[in-house]
Order: sequence, then C-alpha cells, then structure tokens
Amino acid sequence: MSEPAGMDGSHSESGHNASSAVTTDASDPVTLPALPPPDATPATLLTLSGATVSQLRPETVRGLVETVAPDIVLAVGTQSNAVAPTLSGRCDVPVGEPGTGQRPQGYRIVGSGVTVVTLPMRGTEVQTERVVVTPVGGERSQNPTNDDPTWRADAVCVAGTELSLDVKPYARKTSLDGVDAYRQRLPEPWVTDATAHLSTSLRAGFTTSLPTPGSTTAVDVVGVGQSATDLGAGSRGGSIDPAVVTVYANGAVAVNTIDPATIGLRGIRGIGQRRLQTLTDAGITTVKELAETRLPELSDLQGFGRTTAREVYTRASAQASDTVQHLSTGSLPRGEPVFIDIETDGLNPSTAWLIGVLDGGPEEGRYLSFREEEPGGTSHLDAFVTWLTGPAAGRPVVAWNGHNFDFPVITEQLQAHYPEHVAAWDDCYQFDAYWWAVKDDGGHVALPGRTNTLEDVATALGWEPTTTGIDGETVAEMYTAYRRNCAVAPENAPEPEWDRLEAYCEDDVRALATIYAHLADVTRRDATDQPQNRSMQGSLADFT
Amino acid sequence: MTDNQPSTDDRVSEWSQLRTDGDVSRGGAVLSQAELQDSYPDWREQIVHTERVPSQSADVTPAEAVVCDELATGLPHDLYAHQATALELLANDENVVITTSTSSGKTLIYQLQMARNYLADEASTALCLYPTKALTSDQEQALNDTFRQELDLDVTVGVYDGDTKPERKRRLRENANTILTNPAGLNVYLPRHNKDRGWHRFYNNLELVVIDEAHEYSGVMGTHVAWILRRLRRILNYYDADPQFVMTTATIGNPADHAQRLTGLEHTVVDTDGSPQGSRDIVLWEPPLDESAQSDAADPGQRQADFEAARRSSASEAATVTAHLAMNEMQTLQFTTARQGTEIGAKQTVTAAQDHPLDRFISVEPYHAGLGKKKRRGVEDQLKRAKVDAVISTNALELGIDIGSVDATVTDSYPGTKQSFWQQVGRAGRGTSDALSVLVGGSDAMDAYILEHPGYLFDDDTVEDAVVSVDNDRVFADHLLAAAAERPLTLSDAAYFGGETRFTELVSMWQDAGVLEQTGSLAANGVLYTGDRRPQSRISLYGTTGTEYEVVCDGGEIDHDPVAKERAYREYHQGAIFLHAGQQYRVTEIDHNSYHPQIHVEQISTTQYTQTTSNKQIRNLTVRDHRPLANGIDLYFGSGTVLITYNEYLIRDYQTGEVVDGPLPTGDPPLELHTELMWVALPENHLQHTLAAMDAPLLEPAEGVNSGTHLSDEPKRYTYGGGIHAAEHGIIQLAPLELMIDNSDIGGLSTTRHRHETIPGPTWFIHDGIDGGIGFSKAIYENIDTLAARTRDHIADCGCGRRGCPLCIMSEDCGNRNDPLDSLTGTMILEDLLVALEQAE
Repeated sequence: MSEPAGMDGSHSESGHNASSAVTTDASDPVTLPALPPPDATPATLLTLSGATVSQLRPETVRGLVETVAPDIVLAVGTQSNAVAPTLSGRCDVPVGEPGTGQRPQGYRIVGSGVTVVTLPMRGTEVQTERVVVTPVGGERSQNPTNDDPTWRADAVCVAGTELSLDVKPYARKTSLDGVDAYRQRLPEPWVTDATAHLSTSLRAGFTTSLPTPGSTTAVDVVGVGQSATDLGAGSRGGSIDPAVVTVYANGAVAVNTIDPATIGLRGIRGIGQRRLQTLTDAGITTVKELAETRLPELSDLQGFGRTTAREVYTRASAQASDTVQHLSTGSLPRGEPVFIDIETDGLNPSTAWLIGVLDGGPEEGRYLSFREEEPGGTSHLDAFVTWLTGPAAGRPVVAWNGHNFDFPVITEQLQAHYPEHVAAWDDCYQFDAYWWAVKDDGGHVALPGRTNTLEDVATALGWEPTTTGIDGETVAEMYTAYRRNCAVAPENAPEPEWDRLEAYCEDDVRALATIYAHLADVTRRDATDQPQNRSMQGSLADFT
Repeated sequence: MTDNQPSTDDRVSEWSQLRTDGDVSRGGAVLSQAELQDSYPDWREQIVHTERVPSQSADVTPAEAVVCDELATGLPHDLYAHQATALELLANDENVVITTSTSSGKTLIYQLQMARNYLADEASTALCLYPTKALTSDQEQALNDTFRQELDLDVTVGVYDGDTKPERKRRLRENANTILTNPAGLNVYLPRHNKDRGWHRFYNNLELVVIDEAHEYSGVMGTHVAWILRRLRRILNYYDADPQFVMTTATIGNPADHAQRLTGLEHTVVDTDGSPQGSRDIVLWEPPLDESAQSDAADPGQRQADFEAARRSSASEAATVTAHLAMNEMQTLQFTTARQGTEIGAKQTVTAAQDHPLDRFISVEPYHAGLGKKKRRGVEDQLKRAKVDAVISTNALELGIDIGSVDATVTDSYPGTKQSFWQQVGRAGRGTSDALSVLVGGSDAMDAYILEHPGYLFDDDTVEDAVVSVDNDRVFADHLLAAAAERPLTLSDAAYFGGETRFTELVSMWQDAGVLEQTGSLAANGVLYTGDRRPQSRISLYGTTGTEYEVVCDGGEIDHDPVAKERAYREYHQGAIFLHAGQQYRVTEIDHNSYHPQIHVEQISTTQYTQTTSNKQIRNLTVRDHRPLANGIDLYFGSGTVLITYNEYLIRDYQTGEVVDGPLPTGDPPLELHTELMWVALPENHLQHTLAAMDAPLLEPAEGVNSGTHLSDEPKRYTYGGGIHAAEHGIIQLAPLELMIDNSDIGGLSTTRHRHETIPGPTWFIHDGIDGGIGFSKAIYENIDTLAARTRDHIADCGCGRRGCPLCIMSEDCGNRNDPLDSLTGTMILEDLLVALEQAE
C-alpha cells in the first residue's frame, strides 16, 4: 500500500460487500469483505452534487466525465436537481436522481451484469414491474422500456436517499435512521447477496450493515454522497468531492473520491486559478493544447515567466505523452535497487504483515514475500532485515512515498520487536522515489498520470496489473477483519484469499520498478544531453 | 456606603505605626490625608482601605543539603525553603505542584531537577510547556543562561514551535535535552512521534515534564490541555517512559485537584513561599458617587445611565491617581481594562496632570500588545531606565517581560482574578524600598464587593478554585480520534481515556460512524483511525466544536486569537464595538455559514460602546445530579438545550451613559447550545409565600419598558420575578470571586414557571455558555452554599435601593435589560435557599 499523503486531495476509499456492521458486537466475528471476481467488468458511476457542478468550470466537468468515463452519473448532495440540466447537452451520459420521480429508473449497464436502479420519491411504490429500464452502452439507440426482461437476470444495484447517519457525542451514540423505511420499500428480489445498496445521503466510502431481524441475508449499504451529520475532527468538512463508484455483479462495490482540481489544466502543478484564466483567454483549454504551445508564446503570457513556462510546459508534455520528462538535475542512488512495498492494517497501522520485495527489473525481477507466519507474528521482519543486510547488502531500498509511510512503519516495527536491527536498517540507503521525483528540489521530473499515486503513474507509463478490483484499502480491511476473527473466534476464522493479496502486492512493486526504470532513463539522458561538460573535462586517462 | 469605615487619617497613621524603622514610607507620605487634601484634585475621601503587607525575609536551606555538590557549588545563593522542599519531593520520585508567587524562583526548581537527571544520564530529556510563545522564548533564555553560566552543564535547550525553522526542529528532535513548546504545538507534534526522526529518542529518554503557569489552563483551553496531556502520557507509556511532572501555578484554592485533573496524576503541593518579599502598601480607592446617582428612575436603562453618568468612571479616576503619583516623582504603571483603551487613558492622565496643583510636566506612554514590536520595546526600555513617568497598560505587562520595577502600580477596575491582581501589584517595588499599589474600584458588582470586603483580597482562605473539567464528551471524542491517529487504540488505553465504559462507548460511536475502523477490535490488533488525515489539525483549543472564527481587520491588521462560535454570536455580531489590545474596533460583517467563518472588523476611535440583548429558551432537561433540600426546595444539575438569540443591541456613550442609538437588529440566527446547567427549583407556592412575608410595597412595572418579555406586568408576578432575576444575576456576578471562571462564559435564566417534572414552581437556571459544557455550572452547583451566602450578603448590604445597581445585581450582559429586578425579594429568596441548605444537612 503506498498512498502518498494528500497529494491531490483524493481520499481513496473502498466499499465492499462485507458486513461491516453498525451494530456488531465487539465479540462477534465478521465476514470478510468479498473481492470482485478478477477480470470482471464493473458498472462505473460518477457521483456529482449540484453544488459541485455549479461551482466548477464547464471544461472541468467535461474533463471529469471524460477521465472517469462513467456509464451513468448519479446526482447526490445539495441541489441534486441541478446536475442533470447542467450536464445535458455537454455529455450524453444518463443522470440518475434517486429520490425523484414517480417510478424507479433502471440503467442496465451492458456488459457488466449490473442494472442500477434509482428509487423514486418517498411515498411512491417500488415494484420490479414498475421499473423503467434504459440500456446503457451497447446499442444506444434503444429507447427506455419496461418490457425488456433481460435486465431481470442482472444483479441489481439500488440507489436511494432514505438513510442518514446521526452522530451524537453527548449520547455517545451513532444512529442510522430511515432503516425501516428503506427496508420496507425494497421488493424481495432486491435483497440478495449480490445486490449492492448505495445511499446518496451517506458519506462516500462509508459502509454499514442494516439490521435485518428474521432474515439471514445481510443488507450492506455503501455511502456514495454526503452526510449531514457532524464527524468532528474526523472530517475535513466543506463541499464533497465527486466519487467514482464501481459496482460488480457479485455485489462488490468500490468508492474512490476524485478531486476536480486534478482534472485538466488545473491539475498541472503551477497552474492555479489565475494562470488557468490566462490560458483560457489565450485559447488554451486542454493539457494537450498546452503541450503543443511553443515556449516563447507561453512565457509571453501574463503571469508566466520563463521558468514557470518551461515547468508548466514540461508537466503538460509529460501528461499528454504519457512519459517522464526531465525537470531539474538530479541523480538516483548507485547500485541495483531493491524495491519494496508493505501491506498493513491501515494508514496509521499497528503492523506491517507483508513486505513485498522485488529483486531486479519490472518484468524479469524476482518477487520475494516476507509475510507474517502467524496472525500478529513478527519474525518476517527479522527475515527481511537479515536478507537486506546479507545478500542485498549495500543496495538502495526504494519505495513510493517511503518517507511518509513504508520507512517509518518499518522503523517503528523494528524498534518495537527487533531493536537490535534498527541500526542496520538505519544504515541502509532508504530512497523514496516519489519524494525524489516530486518534492526534492521542487521535483526532478514531471510525471505522467492524473495523480502521483503509484498506480496512476505506472499505468500511464504502460504498466498493467495482473489482478484488478482490489486496492490498498481493501487489503487493509480484509486483514483487519481477519485479525479480528482470529482474536474473537480463532477456530473458525476464514482465511482471506492470500494469493490474490500477494498478487496485488507484487503488482505494486513491479509498478514501482516500472516507474524507476523510466526515472533512470531520464536521468541517464539528462547526463548525456550535456555533452559540453563532458568534452571540457579531461579525464586522467587522457594524460597517462 | 462607607459609613462604618475609619477615617483616612486613622488609617494612614496605622500605616506609619506599622513601620518599624520609624520612617514614613514614601507611598504613605504621598497618599497621606494631609498631602491628599492639599494637592489631590477633588479629594473626597476615596480611600476605603489600606493594607500593609509586611516584608518577609528569606527562609533558606544550604544548597548542599539538597543537591549534589557539583550543582551546589555553581549556585550563587542558598535555596529557598520551597525550592528545597520541592527538590526533595522530586528526589523521592513524586510529582509536585508549586504555587508560590512570581519571581520566587520556581524555574530554578525544575532546572535543578533537569541538571540532576543530566548528571545521572546525559541522554535524559525534558519537555516544558508554556501558555504563550513570549514566555517560552523568555524561559529558553533563562534556562540557557543558568546552565551555561552557573551550573556549567552542556544541556541543550531549544524552543520548538511554529516559529522554529524546519532544520532547527530536526536538530532539536535528534539532539536536544530540553524542548520548550506550548500546548497547541504539542497537539500537532505528538502525532509525528513515529514519523519525524528524533522523537523516538526524545520520548524514550523523557524524565521530566514541566507545565508552567498551569492556572491559565482552565475553562475551554483547560479541557483541551487536559486531553493533550493524556495523549502524551499514553504515547510515553508506549515508549516506556514514565517522567515526573512539575507544575507551577499562581495561588489557587485547589492546586492538587487542578494538577490531578489536568494530568490524571497525583501531585504533592508545595505552597509555603520561602523567598524574600519587600513590604507593600495596598490602597483600595473608591471613585466618588454623587447623590444624584441614587436614581429613582423606574426604567432600568435610565437608572444605569444616571448611575454611570454620576459616577466618575474608574478610568478617569485612575488617571487622576496616576497623575498624582507621577507628579510626586513616583514612577507609576497603570493597568486598565477600561473601554476606551490605553491611548485615551494616557491622554486622560496628561489632562489630569495639567489640572493638578503641582506644576510639573510628566511623560506618559500607552502600552498594549497591538503596538508594533519596536514601539513596545521602546516603552519597556523607557520603564527600565526610568525615562518615563507613567505608563498606561493593558494586562500585557503582567508577566514575563522584563521592565525592572516601578515605584507604584494603579489598577483601574479589579482585573477579575486574584492572580492577575497580585501579578500587577508585583510590578511595584524597587529593591528594598517600599512598593505602593492602588486599586481603583470599577462599576461592577465584584469591585463593589471587594471594596466592601477587603478581607477577600488579603485573607488567605479566600482563594479562587481553578475550574477545569474533562467531562465534555464532544471535546473528548475529538481527542480520541487524534489519539487513534497517533497509535491504534487498544483496551489498555482506557486508563488514559476516560475509563473503560466511556472509552469503549465513544470508540463504538466513532466506529459506527466510520471514522474509526469498523471491524477493528480493541482486543486484537487495535482500532485504527480511518477518517480524514490529520484530525488534530481540526481541533480548536478555543472552543468545543472545532469551529473557529478568524478575526480579520479590513484595511489593517489585528492579532486576535480565533473566536469560538458561542463567543462570536455573543460579542461579535454586526455593529458590535469592542476593545482589543488597547485598540477599539467595530464588527463590520460576520459570516456564520462559511466553512472558514470570518469576523470582519475595522479600527475606530470612539466614546461609544454596545450592549447586546438576547432571548433565551431552555429545553430538553436531563437530570444528572439532584440535591434535595428542606422546605420543598431542590437543587439540580444536568444537561439541556439552550436556545439563545442575540437579536438586538444598543449603542451607548461611556462618558454620558446615554443610549445613542438602538435597539438595532443584529441579524443573527439563534444559537443552539447543548450544554450543562444547574437550577434551583422552588416550591409551587413560593411566590405567594414570599410576597405574603414581605412587608414592603410591590414593585410597579415601568411604563413602556420591555414590551417583549415573557415576565408578566402584573405587580405580584413582576415583583417576585424581579426577585429570582436578582438572585440569578447576583450569583453569576459574584461567582468569579470563588471560582476561576469567566462569567461571560456562563448565562442564566429565571422564570416563574417552566414545564418540567422537576420544576413545580419558580426557578432559575445557570448554564455554561459553551457547547457541551466545561464545568462552570457544575462548579457553581458544587459550591452553591458559599456562593448563595456571599451573594445574599452583598445584595442585602448594597445601599442602592430595590431596583439594584451595577454594583450588586445589574448586569451589562442581561438579555432582559435588567428588568425586573428587586433586591429585596431577591434577598428573601436567597435567605430561603440558605435556610433550606442548612436544614438539609
């Protein structure tokens, strides 16, 4: 897991189909989150609030929709009725508005096996027969109909507005309201393990399980919108970011927020509101157009000096061409790097249960796994340091956002469990490739990808993961649930799909190696691109 | 009001008799009857009391008896008794709280402990917390000087706060022995313990934690500091550190309690001061009151105006005193809280000097925190070098900054707490010569009480208790999130965080809300934080809800702490005029709805001030404690919802007291407070019973006044209503004499009927003005016996007439414009309460 801290503001979350219950007793075991089947095609939704669309520039909204390429847009939050009118005419993605209209609206997402159904206004009936179904994707020319029975075979994803959370610190309780109203509305066929339930009145990424007396099927709800309750210091507050919701036919749901400030030109570092306006006035509205502008023209614009123009241009080029571009002189550590990526139980973790290591290049390198040998075990840390200081002695250790995450976590774990190794670990060259690329000296290179997360950058450079539908948060949640079960009901604790989790970790270190290879290329090019220095310097060999 | 006091002459001669060396003190001469009659403009026997605080010689112990020779030889002098006692306790592995006066050498105590720790282990570290940045940098200097010059030890000391450069911060983390910071800083540095290199070493070796001026941590700030210290202790436990705590406070009534509540640890009290004190003369000065001030006007607004007009404002009186002293070649420092600020105070002093019979020119300078740094240094320097005759200052010069000493201090209006008062007084007195301090009474119930009962200031057994509470669950919940981000929460953390029940309930609450890991288990690998990053950055030390209003000056600058929401509604509505750091401002705009709310102000210079009125409703009462008394009277403490609408305000002139404009609307929406409160429930027939026993006529409502109140115009209800209203006001006004609370943070409501099962008849409420409560009304509930007695006496003894005056029951903050008020009925009601309290035992 290597989520760089607050780089683009996107708050990565994932929902899942597990029973992460509001009312689970501390001594009850929990079900492990279900992972989506590998290589499945999900339904992709983009959530937007009316406040967001009215505040954003039209190009940004367009850029958002293009980047995410959702099957449908879901209107959430305040002034949700402003979303559809704002989008109509700009893009032809259907907009679903839960909580409006007389009849449930169904969007059959062709190829995913999922039909998203938005519930109508309160007080109206919800029956499967009354759903008006529009196919999305595939043959667009089809008209909405409620005769087409093919959608009945799909997994249903219900989107409603009935539920709300109320946090009451003085009562020391959080209550979930509207549960009965919601449950009673749902027709029986929509209460299965494969049904996903989305709530636009719960915070994006929040998940909970609805109490279902007398039923064995859990109804798990995933928040995709905005909550009115006060989360105290736990929430940044303010307006909500749009979210990308992926729904799989087996009921697995993932939610990731996306910061509009990373879209389009605004996402280029160095371009704030004022420079954005200047560019727009000059007729430059996309990253591609910026990358095609001649440098002298650019530096002539108001607010763009030579240095800024060059920087901004280089960044745009990197994004437009999906390559790494040189920004300022720097060098990578000498020696063959060792790439690492750790998996933990969260962002402020209590353990690093897996240290994934890549020895070699992105394709042919050997993957080594240092994993806890029992729940909560620590001997893998010993093994890791032994290997690092033995066979791999003297080689730089490379991680993405290592300074803020991987390295301090390993240090803390060693201090607690193997203090005799701390000195040797400290002696290793701990190299944070992200920090070198983006922070050191203002950044040595311009990276491609919408954000600077490992996955985004590597994907832009052509890397492809071997396992999809899984991310750092899911892994942490899976592990936490497993550990809880081990503590509470050890005889029955179901094992997570360890292979899949390992595959994800291996994916990440190979992604890291991919990026590093490109960084190395650029620094080599940079060195050879300054021939005048070379030829001026004699070398000892010349004189002997 | 001063009929029973001895004459000035008697008092002054008492003065001279107390001196053993036969010489009359200069102060005594300057303020003698003869001198004052001669030269004081408009002398009207204003001195109501003088107190001689005799000198005290040092009580010492040789340093070698307490610390090792290596340290003892470096010290230039013996240790004072309290220093020795404290160091012995520390050698015994105890925590100490030291309550001796300023400049009694408290710093040396913890410095020597640091030195001892260093000699035993050069890697040992210490953490020191100070309430202000100015104090922190002062102490850095002092500590460094002593270590280098006297003790000759290579102890590295450094300030680590918002002004420290990143490079220096890194060096301090990795190398320093002693780190100095403030609570707001610690709040954000603590979460970095496992991210920034060096903290591990620092915490691992921590042997000492110093909390300086801890009496400052009360109320809202105190609650936050209490939790920050608990988070610290929990992290220290993880690093296997178990340091000793040294706390210093000004004199408070409950030092052991306060220390325990702030830290969760037991402390031993060291309170007997062994440092030498020069003798002091303290004079209580009452501005004269014209006969015409005994207003008979029925309209309380008019009464207030008459009163203020007739009574010389304490500010101009203080100016005259200052001028008199300065003209008589006594360098004088005047502390003022008056409305018009220090600039006008300085002008008034100059004018008074011009009117003075003595023909001398005196130089007067104003001083406040809003002056530029250069100007402030200039005035401080002038004071040190005796180049200025008088300085008019805010309380900015109370502590910390070195200005040498002046000959005399004048305090204009009681500063609100004894700590403040004695700190101001402490500025006077050069070397062995005598010090003179004058307290000029302000137009406030507390001032009147003190002038009437000088023993309050000088008797040892009337010291205010500090009030800090960790009961507010909203504040706790936020700090719990910060703690979870520091390390995953486990069951063993409950010892630091509220005990098992409270801890697990709030953890569950946050898990259910998704900001703590839902499937996490306190018993397994812990519960992780899953909310937005850096929760500690969203904790505001100034309020309980995290919402802070930023104060911005249009067209200028203002260095103003952020304002909590409740205070913003109450004091910073549009049009409000206020004084800050000696400068006047008016609020031009306030936006309550923005995510980062701001209060826009502009600088002004005016003789006006504003008074805000409000409507209040109390609902949803929940009883948490009940104290049944005799005769059908009950006391309750609990929680409820208080809806306050600060809807209108008046603009008055402080020179004439008259209303210049208003009532004007504030435009503010209602403020909903979920908070703690106490109430006195009287029996159903108490109104009839009281009025029947009263042998005075009923009060008549004034014409056209207060057509918006819910209190009836019918004479019986009006009169009785005036009584409970008076009781409510009286207790609130005088509570700060007993408890260290800011009475602008408490409010009250009195009514003849309130629908609730615990309230059969009339009642009055006193509630915390802060969301969630911070322990103030609870402290009043717990101290009601003393408070009721004190209030009853004060109201009964005030010679002002039934409708009251600002010195007893009239309050500027009354939402009902001080109507109705009846001190006679009020006294009877309080007497019934006192009887019930007594008979209940």
